[in-house]
Amino acid sequence: MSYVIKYCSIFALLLGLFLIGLSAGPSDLDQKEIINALLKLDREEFADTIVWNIRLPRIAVSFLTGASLGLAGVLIQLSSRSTFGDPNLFGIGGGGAIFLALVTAGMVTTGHFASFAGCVITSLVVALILAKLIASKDLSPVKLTIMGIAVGALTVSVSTSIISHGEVFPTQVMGLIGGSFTGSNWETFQYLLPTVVICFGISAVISRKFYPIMLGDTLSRSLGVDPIRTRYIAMSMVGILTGGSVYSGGLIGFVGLVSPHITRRIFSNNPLGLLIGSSMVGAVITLGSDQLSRLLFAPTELPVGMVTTIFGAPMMIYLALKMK
Amino acid sequence: MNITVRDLKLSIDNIKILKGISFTIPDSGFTSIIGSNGSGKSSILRIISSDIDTYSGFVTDIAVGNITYLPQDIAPPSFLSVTEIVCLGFYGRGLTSCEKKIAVEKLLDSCGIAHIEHQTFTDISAGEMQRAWLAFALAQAKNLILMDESLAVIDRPARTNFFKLLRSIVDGGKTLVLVTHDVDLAVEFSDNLLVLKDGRKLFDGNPSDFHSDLSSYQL
Repeated sequence: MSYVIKYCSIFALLLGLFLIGLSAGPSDLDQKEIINALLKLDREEFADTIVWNIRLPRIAVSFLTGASLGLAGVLIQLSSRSTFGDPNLFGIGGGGAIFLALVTAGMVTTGHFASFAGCVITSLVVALILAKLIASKDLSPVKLTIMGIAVGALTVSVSTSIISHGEVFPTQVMGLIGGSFTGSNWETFQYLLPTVVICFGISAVISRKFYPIMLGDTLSRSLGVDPIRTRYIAMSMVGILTGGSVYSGGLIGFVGLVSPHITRRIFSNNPLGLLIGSSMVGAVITLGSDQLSRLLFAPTELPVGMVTTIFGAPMMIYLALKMK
Repeated sequence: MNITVRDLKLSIDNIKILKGISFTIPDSGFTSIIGSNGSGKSSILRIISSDIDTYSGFVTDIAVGNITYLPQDIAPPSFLSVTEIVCLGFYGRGLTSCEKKIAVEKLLDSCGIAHIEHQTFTDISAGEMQRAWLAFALAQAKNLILMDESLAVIDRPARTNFFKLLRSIVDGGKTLVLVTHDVDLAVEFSDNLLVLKDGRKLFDGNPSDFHSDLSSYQL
């Protein structure tokens, strides 16, 4: 199957999910109302609000969040050679979650943008700590995975404790720890879009350096690429992308883990292709999971992170079984 | 450039690996380093290739860019095919994809692995892996190749063929330093032999001199 057909299939899938996200939901709108609201043909306030302030921003934000997670996952896996690299499993998103927990519990008072920035910075700090750990010479990908999972568990327990202490509503706890796009708005989209574009650009520029790194640090150096420097750049991108994704959707696990593996099977091992493909696949998974999470038991919503985990965890077991 | 090593000492975690050894590796030909497990053979390659820098003593400084070093425990990701591994050897050489394709085919052919070019690394034998790594090393087009094959479990006929291949590469103008367990083949095929035991040098020189006196060395 040629690349054109593969990319077209992904676009078709995204379009399909977009249409589901737009047309299905607890508020009964018929197709005519949706099209009218979408094209701003008549100013019927209810449909207009549902389409423009609830459904469209939710689609846009979950799309970009998924792309961020897919990109962050492939960057961890390429730079650290870890099969199980995932930004939220490894506690990078947990850094942002601790910050958001402090905000939710009322211990830190900030505006929207400051919350976003705080989330990005705290995730960046965790990402750089992990990068520092991988910089030590004898750290194998397996050790990294184990430490990453420990850091991840730690950040979740810290953020849960903070929220419990703050006595906030259970739904807020679910939204942060379980992941949710319920409150998505255009402001979040405005923060996410430049973040994803810039991080993707920088990652694309350094993508060629991931070729030698696939073979390990010693051979990478012998091919003239400093693996540690490249890893710091890649992990910085991971921190920023993950921080943004936590701000917009909470902790959504396994998207970063499975997207690169699915991409590898559909496309190739070429790092730039993996960056593009994994972002797209991440977006499809997250957008799709969000549709399931809001429609499966409508009007009650499942946390979107639970849906991704239901698909992602068995895939992790499968990958572990296949490991040599 | 000859590689000169004088009074080389190395300790890792307070264990003395190399206890002050001196030797010279000539800048052409096939040098084999043999010795039992833990004798320090692999450490010597890692020091020459700047992979370890915590030693004391003198070692000729060779720029990393002039050496191809193949460690014994390379674990490539399971999804890479033989062709992809060999292609990676051309990294940074500025060839067009067409030039690279022709060069890769030539290397796969000369290393005798053209028939497995599309197989992934997990599906081929240890001997075939070794040949693929050799093709990868040759792709880098550097004069000095340091190869550590002391872990490879390969049957005798395949091993003999591999040494023949190495010999033909050295005869083509490359300098090769090989760490191996196979005393007989090292003696038969190499130009120089360095024998280590417990971090000390036991023998250094022409393999035939070593062979005539083999029984007096307790390896």
